[in-house]
Amino acid sequence: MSLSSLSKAKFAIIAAAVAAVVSEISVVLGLPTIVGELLIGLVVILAGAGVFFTLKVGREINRTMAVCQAADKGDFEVRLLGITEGGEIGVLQNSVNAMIDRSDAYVRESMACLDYVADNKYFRTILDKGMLGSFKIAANTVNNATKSMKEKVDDFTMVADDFETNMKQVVDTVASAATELQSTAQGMESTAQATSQQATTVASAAEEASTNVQTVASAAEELSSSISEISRQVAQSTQIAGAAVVEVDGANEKVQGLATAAQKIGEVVALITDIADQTNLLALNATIEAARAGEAGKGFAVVASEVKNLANQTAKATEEISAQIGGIQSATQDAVTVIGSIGGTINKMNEITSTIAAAVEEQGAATQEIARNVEQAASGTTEVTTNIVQVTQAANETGHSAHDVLGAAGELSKQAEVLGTEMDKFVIEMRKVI
Amino acid sequence: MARDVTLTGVERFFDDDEIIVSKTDPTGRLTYTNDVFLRLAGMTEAEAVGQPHSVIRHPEMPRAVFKLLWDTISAGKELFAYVVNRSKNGDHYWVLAHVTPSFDANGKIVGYHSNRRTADRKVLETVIQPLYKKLLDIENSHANRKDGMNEAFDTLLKILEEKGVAYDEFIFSLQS
Repeated sequence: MSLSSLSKAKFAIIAAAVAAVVSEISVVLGLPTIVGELLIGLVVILAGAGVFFTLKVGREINRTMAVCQAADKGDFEVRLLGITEGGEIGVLQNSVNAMIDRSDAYVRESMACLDYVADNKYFRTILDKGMLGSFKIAANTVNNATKSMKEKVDDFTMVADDFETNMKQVVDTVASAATELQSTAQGMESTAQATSQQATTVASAAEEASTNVQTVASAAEELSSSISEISRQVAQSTQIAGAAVVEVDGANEKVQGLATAAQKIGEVVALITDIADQTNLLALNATIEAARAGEAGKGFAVVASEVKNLANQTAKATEEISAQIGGIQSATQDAVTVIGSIGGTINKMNEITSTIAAAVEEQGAATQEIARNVEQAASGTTEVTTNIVQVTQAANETGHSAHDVLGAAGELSKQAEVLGTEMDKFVIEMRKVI
Repeated sequence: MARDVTLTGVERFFDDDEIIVSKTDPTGRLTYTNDVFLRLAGMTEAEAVGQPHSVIRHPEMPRAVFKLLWDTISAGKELFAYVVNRSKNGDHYWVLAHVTPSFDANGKIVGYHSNRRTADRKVLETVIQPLYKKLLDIENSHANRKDGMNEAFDTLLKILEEKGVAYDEFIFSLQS
């Protein structure tokens, strides 16, 4: 009894037609009227059933149509409930339900799957069990797409991981470089400051040295002029000594002449002495002769005595002269000795003067050497001063540069920090994407 | 009423190409059951429609799983669950249920929909049945049904936490 209302209607109408024909045949055959009436009644009942089932078919088809139309418009909540029809209508209605069931299932599955994908989760694939035909193909297509997306995301994640690691390294390197740079710049700055200070010290030392060199230079000049003076004096004294030697030689000659004169006087004195002796002797002889001549001789005797006296006086005077000449001679000898000594002294003085002259000459050369050295020292200190100015300038510039570098390093450090923060933010955002 | 029916221990099966479909209103009363549902449940449509979904509840199903189910779908999310159901005559059948809310145009939940597929035997035997037995034992160890359910629910969450996966990912990890 699994017939649809459609079959039942068909059956009832055919049966009614058959009953009508049979009823006509019964009239032709002259069967009792009651049979005909019964048959007509049957025709009426069967025709009524036919109408009833036809109407029911219409209702079921309308119901089914409404569900199909709703489903067509995307309403998958509609189903045919209370399916009582058997046969093709029942099958049709169950098929409509099954069709919507499959579509509904597929839509729910794919929606959920894509929701997960939208949430960056890829494990939620469409379960293809129970998915048939195009649904299965579509499910597999979506699953393959999901898988491919997952692979891409995994790849991207790997890239992101690499990126994060590398960038982190870069950021760390930059940060530590900045820190290092900062400390280096700080060191440089303090070195520059120290250099500047030392340069200032050197500059003032160079200034002092310059002053000292000037002092030395003027001292050397004074020394030089005093040496020239000494040289001049020495030359003069050499000249004077030379003149003195000439004078001494003259004096010596004169003294020698004096000695010779004294000698000659001595010789004259000896002659006088001899004459006095002979005179005395003659006086003596005269006396004797006078004595022998007695009285006559008396006057003569007085003369003889007077002569004797004169001879004696002469002898005495010559003795005195001799003594004087001895004195002169000894004095002359002393003078010669003294004059010789003076000559020796003058010679010594000459030697000393020569030595002094040589020494002065050497001193002059030395002074000139000193002057030259001083000049060199002066130009050296000038050079030092110039250089020190440059050094100071360079140190100041270095200090400025170091300061700038320090500022830049600080900025770099800050930037590195910002970079790190931005990197972290970026990576977080990037991670949200995958 | 169904709760009192004796279990036969007979398992019913359906085809891999078939899906069991049912719809309920927001309170969980059946509004539609497809022919496969009715065949497996051994009911007529008239017997099923209008009844709460628990009409096919099997006593060996941990209540904690249903708590998870209702918590999830009433929050507007889908849930997959391995479920053993009871036929009217006391037979049973295992399904992998996919339960989803149905929304109206304004996004309001107007009912729930369940598609059920055949469950993988190996998954059932190696994972699901031992897990459900454990949860059920916890539930039965309490005099108060609600306390038992809550402890079993916490245990389930703890197991997932130890595995380091959420429930949905855990279920999908079981698919070959």
